[in-house]
Amino acid sequence: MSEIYKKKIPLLITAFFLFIVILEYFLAVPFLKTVGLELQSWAVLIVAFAIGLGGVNITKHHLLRISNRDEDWYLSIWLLFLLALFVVVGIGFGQQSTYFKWLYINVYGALSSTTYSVLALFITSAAFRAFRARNFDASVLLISGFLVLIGNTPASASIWGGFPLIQEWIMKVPTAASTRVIVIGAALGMVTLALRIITGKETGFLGGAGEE
Amino acid sequence: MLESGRVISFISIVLMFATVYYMLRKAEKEKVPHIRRIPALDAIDEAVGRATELGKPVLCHMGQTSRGVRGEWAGAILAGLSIMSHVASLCARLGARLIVAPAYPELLPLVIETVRDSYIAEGNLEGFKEDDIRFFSNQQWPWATGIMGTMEREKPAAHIGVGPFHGESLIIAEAGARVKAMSILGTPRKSQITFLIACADYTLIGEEVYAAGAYLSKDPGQIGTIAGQDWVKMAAIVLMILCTLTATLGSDILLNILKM
Amino acid sequence: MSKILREKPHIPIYALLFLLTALPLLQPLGLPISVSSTTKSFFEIIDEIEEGDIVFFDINFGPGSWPENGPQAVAVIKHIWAKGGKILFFSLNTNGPQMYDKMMSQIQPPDGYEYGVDWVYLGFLSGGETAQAALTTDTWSLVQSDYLGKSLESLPLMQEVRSAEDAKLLICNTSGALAWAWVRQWHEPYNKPYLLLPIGIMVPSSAVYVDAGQIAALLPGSRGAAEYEILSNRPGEAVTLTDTLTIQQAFIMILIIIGNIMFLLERQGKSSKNTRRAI
Repeated sequence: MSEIYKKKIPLLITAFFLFIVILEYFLAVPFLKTVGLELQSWAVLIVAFAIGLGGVNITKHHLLRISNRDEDWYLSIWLLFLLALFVVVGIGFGQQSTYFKWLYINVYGALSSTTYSVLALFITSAAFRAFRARNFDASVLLISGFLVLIGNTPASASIWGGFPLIQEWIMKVPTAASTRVIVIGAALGMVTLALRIITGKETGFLGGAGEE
Repeated sequence: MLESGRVISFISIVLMFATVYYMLRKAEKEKVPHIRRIPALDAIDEAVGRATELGKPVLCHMGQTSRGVRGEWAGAILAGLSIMSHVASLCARLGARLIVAPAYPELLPLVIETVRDSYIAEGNLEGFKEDDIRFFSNQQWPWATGIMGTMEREKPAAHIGVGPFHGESLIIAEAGARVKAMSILGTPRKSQITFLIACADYTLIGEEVYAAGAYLSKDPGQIGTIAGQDWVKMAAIVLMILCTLTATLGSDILLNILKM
Repeated sequence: MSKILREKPHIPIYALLFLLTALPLLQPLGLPISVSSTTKSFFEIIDEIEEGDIVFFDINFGPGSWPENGPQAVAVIKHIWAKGGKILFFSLNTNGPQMYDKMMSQIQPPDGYEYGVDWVYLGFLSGGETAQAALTTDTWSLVQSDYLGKSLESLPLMQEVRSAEDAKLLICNTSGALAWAWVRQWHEPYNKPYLLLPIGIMVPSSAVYVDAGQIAALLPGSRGAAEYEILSNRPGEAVTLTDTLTIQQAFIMILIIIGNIMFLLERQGKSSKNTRRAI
């Protein structure tokens, strides 16, 4: 009975909706289009409720950290304060209000940009660590990466007009070719995965209950 | 009946399904086809074993994409879930601590249930800690920050993440390298593969992500589907060569047929 | 020093990078900026816009990628309005409305331009590719009011827009999501130009679509934005960042060279030790 609830029914539901969505894309049947749009709305609603669940998870985790006085527990207080502030201001004054926009741009926006900026640091340390001529393949990667880097530099054309041309060739020919290969391979893999789900073969996402 | 511009796509999908299903049944009844090793998937056991020996946790996630399972990367997320389930079983068996950081709130109950069931199946329910399943955010940068913070505080010995990534891929890969975690990362997103290859110890590229569930299960039928996929790929290569030749000779007939 | 470079290289690297990033911002160096053919193609397409032409503009990014996507959008929108074009803005990203507000705070609409007549913002449209399909086939079926809650009937621009057929071209300003879906939902069915404003790392994967003609042109990241600002004679945020970009990239190149020299010296040291042991 437990296997029916935990394995068979979820697989049946997944396969059914997967089938509907695939058919909705290919068939010009108005009813299927309506069903497809309705499913999208259901998904949006589920995610909206799930965000609340995520909020509960965050709150629970950080309250536990505060009560246990874990490392940096005071940061958990700050996080919970900001969470509450955004919720109160957003619901109380509305998302169009000046207060919410100010909070969004100057807190969330600033922090997001900061984390994005960390990429610059990490790209630099990763380039220093990873771009080594260890073997033939790594050397080819190093040389082509270097040429693309030079070509991408805004001032490179002033040094030699050939740099941007080399960069453009590398991007348009070998890079584009390998990109196409990966895209086609991944697309075929996705279709195969869909078939495994429809036939009930792919049960890995059900966890231990999915294993025989 | 069929949408215009999608007739050939529909026929292709049907033929592909038929081929893959045929290979699935053939593998179940006859000989299991041989598929090449995927080093990244083989390394999962080694990574979890390393974490157990060092007494450090394993950090696992399924990447991040803002549309979650509603979007085009749902397949990659499910593949990541399959791998996470396998990792959970290994951690339960070997007694390693598992931290999971899903970026999809709609999957949170499923992740908790999947990990708990894996621990129950291994007879190690007391090893399961619901507090180690942490939702940081479904937004890109807050999630990446959460992963970075977890890396610095928990210092995992193994970092396993398969799914869609965006710009945060380099950040989390490099954060793992900074704490000397053994990283096994994979994505079908072409723009992020290069960063993972540069920073991770093992990488799953493109279709290897979708083959993960079948590969790890070692189920004959599922392995047969991978072989079926390769047959379809051969057909696609032949079609590409034919299209290239006809286009080079100045004929659009094949292209026009494919656009039907 | 070589011990720090081997064991904790990130300390001197990050410190130097911080300095090299900050200094050009405080004291601009005026390093040359060459304009690429990619940017010129984009510029030429926008330059062909005539008065009254309608452009669909998808604001599809969040605050994290503002430094790249923001200046692109500002430069292009100023150009479109200078040509007399009208813009229908919308967002397929939940952060889009906030990015629209930030954009509008940096752009002064031309004299005589009025919201509702010359531009409209529909707000966040949920549904991903399904929303794209609905927007292009029957815009009014997807949304009944704009971002500010005004009904579409009260907006003169919306009287001219029912579907993609009424638009001249589409611009997607994105940090990744749904960029390729527009090829399926805009270019393939309507054969109208699709212009992309991507972040830098999307450029290699966009190249295949540009080659195939499915994307008419793209502006690569903040560098593309700087080039566009120079072409349109409206220098802005992106141009001020270009000195920093040049210095940073030069620094990375130098680091790669140093890293490889260190690696080769280490390898030579190990092989000579082995030779001595063998002897």
